[in-house]
Amino acid sequence: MKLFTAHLVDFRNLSARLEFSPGVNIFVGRNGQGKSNVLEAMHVAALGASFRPGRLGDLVRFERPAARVELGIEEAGIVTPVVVTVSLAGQRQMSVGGRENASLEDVAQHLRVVFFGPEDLHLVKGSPSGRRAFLDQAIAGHHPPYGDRLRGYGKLLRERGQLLKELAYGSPPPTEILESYEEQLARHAAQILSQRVKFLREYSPLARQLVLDHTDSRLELEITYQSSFLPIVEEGLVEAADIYPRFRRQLAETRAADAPAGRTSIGPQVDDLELKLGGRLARFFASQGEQRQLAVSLKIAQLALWKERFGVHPVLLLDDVLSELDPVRARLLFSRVSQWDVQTLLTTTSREDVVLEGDCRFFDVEGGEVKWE
Amino acid sequence: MAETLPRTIQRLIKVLSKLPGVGNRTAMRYALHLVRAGGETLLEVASAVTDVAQSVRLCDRCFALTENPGACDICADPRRADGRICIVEGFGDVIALESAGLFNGRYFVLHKLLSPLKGIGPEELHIDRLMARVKAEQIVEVVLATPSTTDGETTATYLSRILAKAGARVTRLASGVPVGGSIEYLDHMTLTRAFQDRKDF
Ligand SMILES: Nc1ncnc2c1ncn2[C@@H]1O[C@H](COP(=O)(O)OP(=O)(O)O)[C@@H](O)[C@H]1O
Ligand SMILES: [Mg+2]
Ligand SMILES: [Zn+2]
Repeated sequence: MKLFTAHLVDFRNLSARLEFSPGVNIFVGRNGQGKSNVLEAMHVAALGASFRPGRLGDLVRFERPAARVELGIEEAGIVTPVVVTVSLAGQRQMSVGGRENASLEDVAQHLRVVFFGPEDLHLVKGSPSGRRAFLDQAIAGHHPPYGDRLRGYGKLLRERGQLLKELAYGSPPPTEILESYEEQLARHAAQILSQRVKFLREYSPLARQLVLDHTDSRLELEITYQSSFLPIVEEGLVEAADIYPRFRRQLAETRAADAPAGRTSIGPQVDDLELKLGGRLARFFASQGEQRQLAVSLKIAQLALWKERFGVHPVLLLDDVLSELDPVRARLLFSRVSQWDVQTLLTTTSREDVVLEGDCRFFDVEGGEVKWE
Repeated sequence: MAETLPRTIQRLIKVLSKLPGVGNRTAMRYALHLVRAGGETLLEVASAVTDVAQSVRLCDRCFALTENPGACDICADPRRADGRICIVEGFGDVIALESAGLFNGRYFVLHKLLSPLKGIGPEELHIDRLMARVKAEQIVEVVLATPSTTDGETTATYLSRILAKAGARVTRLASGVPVGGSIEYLDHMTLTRAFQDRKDF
């Protein structure tokens, strides 16, 4: 699947018609001209949400009623139209191939994206939530039901939190109610944990190889899933059916301790990915440069896994990361991208950052208008 | 935008815009259409709405909509099989199941699903009335047909727990119901399969 054309109407400051190269598309312009907005439009179309915080309605150009993203997506010589509109009130509507009321899964049949922005360079050093988010998008991006599961789990956590507070501070809820929520919570947690562990089993060897090839130090990468639910770490539990009953019991045991804060202390929401380079925690011992290289490699490994293992061919969106990479790393990135035939959209303030041979197209972005040679 | 309109019409627009899927614009279109259609139509709509407000109530036994003073038509129908209750979230689900002709027992309409965050507990679902029926009516099967959303699943889990304690056999619609799916909007085939393949729960 490759982006063929785009027509953006009142999407932030953009009004533009674009024709893409199947290779690398470089959006060049000064700050604040609309480069990232182009990438954001693709992100919203593919995933239903932006990579920036805020409401969906913020995407609509000031003083206008709705934003519209019309894409032509090419696959085996056939171009499928995908149209996404967002209203000021934040209502999203999609059509795929002329069929109205399409779902995100319908869109995902034709368009997947992998986004990498400046924030992602902090993946190694940053907070556990960033690493969880990395893991979750890597799974949900090729397996949409996982995303639904996560959202359901988040809601159940908030519901249990409410029940725990009632338990601690006032009128204790009926036991059957608490048990019902904990049962559902445990079912969701077991699925999520199992899927994370299984994903990492396939992902880790690929990532290890890429890091070995890509980092200057040629160190061995070791990825461990750090679970608050110890049987995963200590006994290597993998299957949801094995995790569920034990998790369920543990939830009941933590009830009293969790109650005052209304916060559930075990589960996917507090877990972390431990990254070791050459046997040492990368978070503490790797240099800033090594951490960035590692972050890029982890993302490329995701791309590789999606393509090789899941047959998913995403469009790569790189926002402002080029200037943060040294030239050697940047060239390596591009050689992978062209070797794997990954269509790429990237933004930069300076053409000089881009060292490329092969299929590419430069776009000039100024004041929300986009031109190309 | 509607400030230039007479106040009464503004009020009508405001009322109409509360309907699902009707924004301000559509509400204004409906309102102006009604006004243009004139006196007859306006009064007809008004009296239809008033009639509903005055005569529709919830059935004493199953909480479905009815105009009957006590039990609704389904609850009162002697040809319906005794001993089976199907629990649904809304009245739309009763209509969907009835038009598919899948179930010959009686219903229980919750109108809401459990959510501690929204302050919805067993009382809001009149669970005590459900349990009273289970005791009084010699129920052989309770079919849980709540949606397969997070709230729907948790409500089903809760119901199965308390019903099992009361000794009732509890079944749940089969997985033909898509995750996150509402019964009301299922196509005929899917609903039929989901109902016929219902499982002990
Ligand atoms: N809803 C909106 N309507 C119009 N312009 C917007 C809207 N949201 C953001 N902008 C404008 O978009 C510009 C930022 O675009 P962006 O793509 O982030 O810039 P860059 O080229 O630096 O990546 C700013 O000038 C901002 O004012
Ligand atoms: Mg930018
Ligand atoms: Zn009734």
